Amino acid sequence: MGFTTLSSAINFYKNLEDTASRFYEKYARDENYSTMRELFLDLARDNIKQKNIILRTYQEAITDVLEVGSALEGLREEDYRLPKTPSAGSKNKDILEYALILEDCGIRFCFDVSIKIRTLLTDISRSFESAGKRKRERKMRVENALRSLI
Amino acid sequence: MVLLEEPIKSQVNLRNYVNGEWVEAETNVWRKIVNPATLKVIGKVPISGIRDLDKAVEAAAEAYPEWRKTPPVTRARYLYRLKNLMEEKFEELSRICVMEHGKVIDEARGETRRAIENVEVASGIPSLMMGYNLEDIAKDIDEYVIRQPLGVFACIAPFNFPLMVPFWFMPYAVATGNTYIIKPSPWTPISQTKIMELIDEVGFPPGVVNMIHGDAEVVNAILKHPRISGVSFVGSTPIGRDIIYKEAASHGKRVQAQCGAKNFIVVMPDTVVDQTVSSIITSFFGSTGQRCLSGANLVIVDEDGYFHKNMLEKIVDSARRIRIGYGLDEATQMGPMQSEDRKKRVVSYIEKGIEEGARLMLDGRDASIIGGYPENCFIGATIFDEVSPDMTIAKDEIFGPVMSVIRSRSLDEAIAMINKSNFGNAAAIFTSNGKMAKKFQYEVECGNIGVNIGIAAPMAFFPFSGMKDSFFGDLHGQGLEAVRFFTESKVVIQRWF
Repeated sequence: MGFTTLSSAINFYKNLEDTASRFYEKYARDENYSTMRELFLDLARDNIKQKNIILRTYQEAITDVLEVGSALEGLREEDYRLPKTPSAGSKNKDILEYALILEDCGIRFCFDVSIKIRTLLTDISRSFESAGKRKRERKMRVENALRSLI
Repeated sequence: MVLLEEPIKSQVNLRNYVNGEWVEAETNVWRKIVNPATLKVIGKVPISGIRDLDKAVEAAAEAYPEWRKTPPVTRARYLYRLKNLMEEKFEELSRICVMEHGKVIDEARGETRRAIENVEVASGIPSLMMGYNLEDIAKDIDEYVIRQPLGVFACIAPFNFPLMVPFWFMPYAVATGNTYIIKPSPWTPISQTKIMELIDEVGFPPGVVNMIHGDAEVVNAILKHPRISGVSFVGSTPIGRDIIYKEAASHGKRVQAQCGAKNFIVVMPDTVVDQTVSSIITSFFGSTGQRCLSGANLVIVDEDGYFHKNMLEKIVDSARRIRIGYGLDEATQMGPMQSEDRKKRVVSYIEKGIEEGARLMLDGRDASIIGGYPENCFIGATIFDEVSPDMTIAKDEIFGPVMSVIRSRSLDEAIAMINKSNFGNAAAIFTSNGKMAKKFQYEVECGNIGVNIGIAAPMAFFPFSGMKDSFFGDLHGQGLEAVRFFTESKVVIQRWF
């Protein structure tokens, strides 16, 4: 289904960040993945921070003359659906590869929304763009961690 | 579909808020408050009488002398606390607005934000209220102007922005040292009741801010009350002009009556089409058209008909896909009309449009509603083409999601059409040509002008303007004009021997 209101897009983003944060926290606390603990805790905290920035920007920038509903046409929830999380006992490599999917999904969503609402709600667009750039940096950190396993 | 949780879980019986206390109205007359999307009764509001108003005025009048002596910077700090509480309760306030009005959640959040914005601006009162002076107007004689509050003011609020509109006035009134009485609309009174809970929590001195629920009897009493210095009103032109403005002014009160509208949106052939369509859809159909800044007449400037056809196709296509439902469903793009009577009124105008020969391109009476809600208050976007300016649907304020498309051969013709209207609330032009935009801005006789902006809603630090039959009075709500409305200039000439 498509995003028909800004509220629905924001809510979807919030859930994406919460899902990502829970994922990283789970594996950060799992002794079997202790080598990735610091990275994952940092990423989990950052998910919440980015979420709060976007939510605050939305809440502060939203106006009673919203013009965004139809501007989000073409964006569909199913294009940002995450696959099932790795099963119990997965290797570090599998966890990191899933993390890359998570980050990638976030990057795409943030930039796609940013572009769609750029001319109509600039503040929120800019925040999403900023979040997208930050996720690119995060993705690089995960890629580095994956490379160091090989 | 994500349905947000309703904050009102059981029926609320409202009370007045007078002198820092919740009091029962002295009345046996109550009105139901109905969620227009679900038709559930979510509350009951008392229709207060004159005695209830008298108590509020007495409380406000008694609170005034001390409040007026409170330093502006201290008064501002109450407003800072109010802002903080409104931010904490942002989501709850917004959802209450959805439940009693019907607008969608994004619109309600925008309304809450604008209300808070007015509190922020009014918090700057130590600067905003400053006077001015000149030394030595004659030898050893100085002259200066100070701005002083006047006493008790009142606001008669409309149904369509139940949270926001009182904030065009109240924060400035109390920041400048006046005391205040809000009379919410009996259709949508719960938002302000919630605000009074926050006012109470802030700890304003008793009597500084009061709320009386009621209808015509209380309104008439406000207009005539000898201890009320001024009245702010938002509503229809017949009521604003013929009752509020005349009665209040004849009783020596200051008045600001922000009234009805029939807003024109002019689209030039050089406009950026996709963004324009999005803005137009929001302007005409946002808040289900129940907005004094809503677009009503779309004037497409076109010499050969091709641009008109192309533009109209895109608009109709976009409007057809508007999702209609309950505003707490995050997928909903347009909510219901606030009541069945308001819907019936819109339907009667649609019938009139057909009768007068306009071409019905999109019929909102056929709209489907997502979520299985009762259709009583719902109506979809309606678009008429081939409308002429003398048709009823082009002249009357419909206050619903009805777009009348008028073709024009030139910008001059479009401007002449706009200026012929008795209303003068808002107008907008969509164009890439700066010269056209400047001409439009210069010549159009409307108070709120949009250039590539579909709804020219001023930020809180600007006045909410309006002209002709859209505004009665001299000073508008919001910003510096509100500060001037709530204060008088006292000129002092001073010499020391």
